[in-house]
Amino acid sequence: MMRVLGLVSFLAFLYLLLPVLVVVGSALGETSYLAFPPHGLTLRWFAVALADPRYAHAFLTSLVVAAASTLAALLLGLPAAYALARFDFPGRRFVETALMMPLILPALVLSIALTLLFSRSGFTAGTARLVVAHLVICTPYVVRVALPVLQRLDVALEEAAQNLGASPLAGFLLVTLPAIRPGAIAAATLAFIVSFDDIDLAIFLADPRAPTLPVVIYSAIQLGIDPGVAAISALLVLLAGAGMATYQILLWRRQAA
Amino acid sequence: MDGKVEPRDRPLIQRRGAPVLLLAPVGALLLLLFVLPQAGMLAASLDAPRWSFAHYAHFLGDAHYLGVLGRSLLLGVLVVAVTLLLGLPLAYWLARLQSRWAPALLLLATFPLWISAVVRSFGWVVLLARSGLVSTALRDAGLVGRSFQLLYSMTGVVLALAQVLLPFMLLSLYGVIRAISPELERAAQNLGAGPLRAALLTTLPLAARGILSASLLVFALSVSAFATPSLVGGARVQLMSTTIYEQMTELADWPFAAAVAFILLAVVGFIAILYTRLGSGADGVARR
Amino acid sequence: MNEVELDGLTTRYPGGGTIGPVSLALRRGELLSLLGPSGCGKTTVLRMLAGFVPPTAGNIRLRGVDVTRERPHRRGVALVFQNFALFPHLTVFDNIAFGPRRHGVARAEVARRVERLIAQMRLEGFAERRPDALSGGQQQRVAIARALAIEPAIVLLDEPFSSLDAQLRESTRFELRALQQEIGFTAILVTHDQSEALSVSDRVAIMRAGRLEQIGTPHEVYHAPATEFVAGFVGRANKIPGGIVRPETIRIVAPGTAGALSGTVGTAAFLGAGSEIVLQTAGGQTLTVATDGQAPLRHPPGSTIWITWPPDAVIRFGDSP
Repeated sequence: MMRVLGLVSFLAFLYLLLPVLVVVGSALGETSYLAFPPHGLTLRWFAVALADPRYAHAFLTSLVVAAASTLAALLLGLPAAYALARFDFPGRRFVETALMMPLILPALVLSIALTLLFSRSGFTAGTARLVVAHLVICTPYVVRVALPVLQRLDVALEEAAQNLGASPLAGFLLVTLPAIRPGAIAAATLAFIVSFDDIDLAIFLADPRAPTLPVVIYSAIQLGIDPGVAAISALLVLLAGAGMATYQILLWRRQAA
Repeated sequence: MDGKVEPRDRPLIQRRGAPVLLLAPVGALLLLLFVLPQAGMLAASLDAPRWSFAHYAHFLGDAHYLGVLGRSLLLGVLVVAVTLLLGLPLAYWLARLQSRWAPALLLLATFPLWISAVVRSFGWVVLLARSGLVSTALRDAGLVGRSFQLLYSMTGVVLALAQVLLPFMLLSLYGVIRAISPELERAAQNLGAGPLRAALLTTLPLAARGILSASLLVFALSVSAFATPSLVGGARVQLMSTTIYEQMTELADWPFAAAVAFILLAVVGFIAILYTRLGSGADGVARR
Repeated sequence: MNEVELDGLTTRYPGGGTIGPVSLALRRGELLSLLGPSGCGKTTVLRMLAGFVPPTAGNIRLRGVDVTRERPHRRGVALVFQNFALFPHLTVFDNIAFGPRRHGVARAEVARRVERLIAQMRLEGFAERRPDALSGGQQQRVAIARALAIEPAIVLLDEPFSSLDAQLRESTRFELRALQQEIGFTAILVTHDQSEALSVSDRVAIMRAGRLEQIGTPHEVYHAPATEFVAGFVGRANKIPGGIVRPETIRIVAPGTAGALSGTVGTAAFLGAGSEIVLQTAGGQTLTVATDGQAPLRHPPGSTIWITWPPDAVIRFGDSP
């Protein structure tokens, strides 16, 4: 039976990875129209894409938005994860569930809702709106990653710190944070990628004059696909790979510690 | 460590002051930027302050829009079916694999999650277009006509969306099956059941809760999906998410868009409640 | 003035059950062992002293100052945790220096203290190492050095030897005692191992189910146990009418000796340095005798044996030693 399963699994793997291979493969083709499998091999479309100011600006915007969202998500999420990991209080379950909601409920609906709210309240500053929106989806991810890491951390370390004279806050900054550093970075990596990749929120809330990269690619695809789009998409695949590698290495190291 | 350690149950600290301070920022975030906006959206859909159900009547009274809702739900069902069909065997195979490559393979299978839906959909647009691999293969097999393409069709959307959401299904099912000891199947085999029957009779019932839970998650995500149906389905496949987008941008009918959005929210919200009631599923095993 | 005073200290477990009231007083430089079986509450007493468990009644006074309401980081007590709780991201030097730095001690003085402790704890050469590069015994010495660095009124040790190998345990316990006497710090040692408590303490406090059964010197608790529990917990006890008799005070005598008891040998275990013979008397009593290593050969299982004990070997509860 395992053999049949193995075959089905292989097909499933192929199915999973096919679009990724298509994106990368079609960016390498010689032809100026998209073909997969590609005809010929060249890297020139990557050069074209990197030189395109639209893509360059969008990449930068995405970077800035992701960095800002990640930082804010850490500042909000880590203390929340700490509270959930260390304290028992009425409504604890409720808070955990509430924090999961932005991850299950449709981001598109949130996008609409925030658009309505922002325009009604006059909050029109473009990119700031998107950072604020990303906070809502990135913070729960930070909590989800940091919570088990904090729960696994020996409470004795914090007690030792206090016993030796550190106030609870000093203990958190001097002992807890350094001790969960790999987990915190993993959480940051995840939050960063979630913000960078987002389209549901960005499509309405990004500054029209400074769209993020997924928005630019979305529009480009609708206008007609060409190898330039493929190339920039392939670069995003690389970025995703780097993100995942970082995340996994940090989590594995955490477990070995 | 000496086993004779004094059992020290270190319950969580029972305090009220500090957690409030630590949770206040997140609480404010959720309240102001999650709950409030969606409440405001509801109000907008009800034409506040006039308070009328006109937009909802418009949606629910129109066969076209009901069809849109129905199509979104159908999409959810179909995607769950495909992801289960592929995901369950794959999850089982990975969970039972005794190789040191198993974690790496799981990583590889969930790698697509790290890539933007836009990019993944782009890959499908290329694959499903007239000149794409899938269409060409079907044409060469003589199954379809010359100008056939799966792009801009419901089938194409199902195919693409199922791939996008398969990693979610896979991760959930993997966790559930890992939590069920393979000893049970070995015991069943020892008693005379073949490997397939053993799995079906022992692991599957225990995983049922987890499978249901994972299916609810994928269903909710399918119904909510925007980028993939929009790019792969185009204007031809009308779903809730694309309708909302259309109403917000091209038609600029914000109150109606708000109503459609709220209906979508209600549907997914209902699924979410079922999901949280069920738990993650993996612990359902332990509770038996 | 007593260095440490616990006065009627009480608390409750979340699931019900009370610890206390516990009253103790220690003089400066004294080492008291808090001895008892798992779950008797001895660690809870320690944690109340350290400020991690709030007492529902009672006081804690350190050098005359009432610290009952003080937060954990403001007391003068230092805790040595069972698994040491060394900060994994800091070197040995920084671990030991952590406390003094939090207390605002000047840089030069911090360095002086840490270096002196490193020398005292035989940790030379390890100052720049991380905890995961140390052996169990070394980690323990760092943990103790870290505690001493803040010059506490009292050092609390929570089963400090339980995570060490059996061989290391004995040598380490004497090292600790020697160090404690040399430096002269006051200490409470929590343990479930009675031989540990007896061998290193100035006094022993035996706890059971949340209450103190007896406090006394090792000699006192062994030779004059206050209750049957103490008698059985600290050393072995043979129950006889009127009290108990310790295995090592029972002598094997020639058959028919006047006043001797006869019985059948059940087990005869050779222990290396000695042996243990368990016998059943005609009257149905089971007695354990501790004697020399040759005894099992002379009195194999099933054989008849005659034993007796001097009348002053009988311990009645509540006796004076």
